[in-house]
Amino acid sequence: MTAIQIKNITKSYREVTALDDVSVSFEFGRIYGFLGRNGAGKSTLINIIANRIFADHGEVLIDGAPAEENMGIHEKLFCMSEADLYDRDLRVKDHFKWTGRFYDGFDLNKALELSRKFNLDTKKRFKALSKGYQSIFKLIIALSLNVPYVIFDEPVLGLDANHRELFYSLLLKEFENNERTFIIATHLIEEVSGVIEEVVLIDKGKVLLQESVDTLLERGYSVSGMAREVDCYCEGRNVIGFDELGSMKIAYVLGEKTALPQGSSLQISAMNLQKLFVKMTGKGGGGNE
Amino acid sequence: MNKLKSAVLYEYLTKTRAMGIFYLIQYLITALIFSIVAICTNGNEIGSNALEFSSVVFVSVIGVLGYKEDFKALLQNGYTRKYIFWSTVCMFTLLAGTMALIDTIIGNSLHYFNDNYFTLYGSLYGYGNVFTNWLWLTALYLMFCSLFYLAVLVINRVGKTVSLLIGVGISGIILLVTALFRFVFTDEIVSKAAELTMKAMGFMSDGTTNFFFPILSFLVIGAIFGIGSYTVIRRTELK
Amino acid sequence: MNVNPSIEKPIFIQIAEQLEDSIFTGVFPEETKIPSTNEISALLNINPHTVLKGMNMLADEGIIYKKRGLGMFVKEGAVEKIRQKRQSRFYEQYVAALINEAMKLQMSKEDIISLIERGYGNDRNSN
Repeated sequence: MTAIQIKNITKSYREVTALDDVSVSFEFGRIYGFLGRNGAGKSTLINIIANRIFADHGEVLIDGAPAEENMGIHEKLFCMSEADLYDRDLRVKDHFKWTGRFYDGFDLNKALELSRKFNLDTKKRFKALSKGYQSIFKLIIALSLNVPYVIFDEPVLGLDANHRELFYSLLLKEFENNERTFIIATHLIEEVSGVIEEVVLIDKGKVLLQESVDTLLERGYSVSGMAREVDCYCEGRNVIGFDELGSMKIAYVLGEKTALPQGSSLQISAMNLQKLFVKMTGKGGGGNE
Repeated sequence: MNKLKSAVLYEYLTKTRAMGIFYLIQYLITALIFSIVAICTNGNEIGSNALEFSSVVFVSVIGVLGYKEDFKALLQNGYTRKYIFWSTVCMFTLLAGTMALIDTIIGNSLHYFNDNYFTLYGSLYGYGNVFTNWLWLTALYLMFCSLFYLAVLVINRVGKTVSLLIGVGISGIILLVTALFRFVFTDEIVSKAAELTMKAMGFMSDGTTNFFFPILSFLVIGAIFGIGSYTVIRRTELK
Repeated sequence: MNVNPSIEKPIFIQIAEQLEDSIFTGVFPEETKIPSTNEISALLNINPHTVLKGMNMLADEGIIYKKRGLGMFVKEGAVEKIRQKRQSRFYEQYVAALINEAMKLQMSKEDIISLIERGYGNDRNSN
C-alpha cells in the first residue's frame, strides 16, 4: 500500500501520555493538514514517523515497510522539523551541497532558484539567519527534495505574509509538477484550508477525525435560536459545542443537514473550519471555555 | 554504501576546520614558548614536550561532538542510528589517523632537530619506527574518542543527576581498587597485575618490548567502549 | 476571481460558481478555453484537486467540456443553460425567501407587489 500507515501508536513521557493508541494513514498523492493545538501530540507523532524517537507501542509503515530504523525508506521520506537539527556553523550553500550527497532526489539548482525567490543569502551561516529565514532555509530543502512523503512541522513559523503566500504557491506548484504527499502540521488552520485536501485533527494525543475538507464543510453547521428549541433539535445529533448568548443558544453540529420543522424559528448556518477546529478542541487547557 | 560514505565525509569534513584551528593555535603557542625559553636559557632548554597530550584533549572533544552535532544532523537527513554509529566510528578512525600522522611527523622532526624534545611514543618505546609510532598514536586517539563518545551518550541517556551519581560511583571504585591494591591484596597479586599491565603496554617480563601489544590493548579497550556506545545509541531518542 | 477559505461554502463549489459567473457574464465566451486547473490553483493558492472538483461539477452540468490535449472549453449554449438553471432556481432562492421574510414582518401580498413595482419604476427612472 502506498501510504504512511500509523498503527496503534502509543507514546508516554513519565506520567504524560503524548499519544494514545493513534491509528491514522496518510495516502500517497494528497496534501494533508495535520491539525491540532500546541501540545496536542503533532510533533511527537512526526518524530516517531521520522525515526527520531521511538513509540512505546505500535508501528509506522511507509509503503508497507516499517519506518523504525530502516535505511530502506531513506529516499521515501523527508521531514522538515521545527527544531533546528542542522549544523549552525555551516553555510546555507554547504548545507545544500551536503543534502545533495545525502539524498539522490535533491535538486540543487531548484534549491538555489528558490533561495533567490525568497531572497535567502546562501553565503550566510545557518546561525546568522533570522528565525524566519531559518524556517525558509528548511522549507527550501524540503521543497527541492523529490521524495514521495514530505512532512512540514509548523512550516510558516516566523514568515511574513508575502513569504507565506510564496511558500503555499510553491508547494502547490511542486504538487502539480510531481505528485506526492505533503503533510502540513500546523495550528494555523485558516491559512492552509485552501491548500489541503484532507484534515487529520489530533487533540490530547488522540485522533479526533480524519475527513476531507469538503466533507467537513458540508457536514459542519450551526443551529441557533431559543435554547429550548435548540436543545430539542440537537437531540440525537453529533453536537461538538455550544455558545450561549442570554436566552439564545448556538449549537455546532457535525452531520447531515435536515430540513427544519415547519414554522421553526431556528436558524441554520454553515460553519467554517476554524470554528469547527476550535469547537472540537476547545475544552480544557487553552482557555477557550 | 554510498550513503555511508556521504555521512562519513560529512562528519569528517565538518571537523577538519576545527582541527586546522587547533593545530594553528597549538603551534603558535608552542613556538612562542619555545622562543621565550630558548632566549632565556641560551638555547639549552626546550619549552614543552609530548605535544600529543593536547591532541588527546582535542580528540576527546571530537568524541563529544561526534554525538552532539552529528547525531541530530544525520537523523534530520534520514539516517538510521546504525548508519550514524558506523559513520561516526569511521570519522573517528579517519580523524585519529590524520592527527596521529601529523603528530608523528612533527614530533619526530622536532626530535630529529633537537634532542631535547621528546615525543610521547619516543619516550616510552624509543625512536626509529615511525610506522608503529603512527599506529600507536592512532589507536590511542581512537580510544579517547570512543571513551568520550560513550560518556556523552550515557550522560545524554540517563540525565544529569544519574550521570553525576555514576561519576561519583566510578571515582569511588577507583579509590577502592587503589586501596585494595595497597592494603588488601597480597604482593603476589599486585605484582601479577603490574606485570599484566606492563605486558599490555608492550613491556614483556623478559625485558623485550612488543610494539603491537599496546596498539592491540588500545584497540580492544576502544572496541569495548564502542560496543557500549552502540547499545546506547540504538535506543537513543532525539531531544 | 477570488476564493475565500473562511467562507463556509466548500471551496470547490465557490470555484464552480465563480467560473459559471464568468462564463455567464461573457468573460469566457462560448467555445473558448477557460484557465487550466494549474493556473487557477496557482492564482488562488488552492489545492489543484479541489479546483478539478469544481471544474468537474461544471462539466457534469454540461457547461464546459474537455478538448483532448487542449484543456477545458466553454460549451456552445452554455450561457443559455446557465440562464435556465438560474431562472429555475430564482423562485426558491429569492421569491421564497422574500415571502418568508415578508411574513415575519407582517407585510401583505399587496405591499410586496407594490414594492416590486416601485423597484422596477426606480430602475426605469434611473436609466
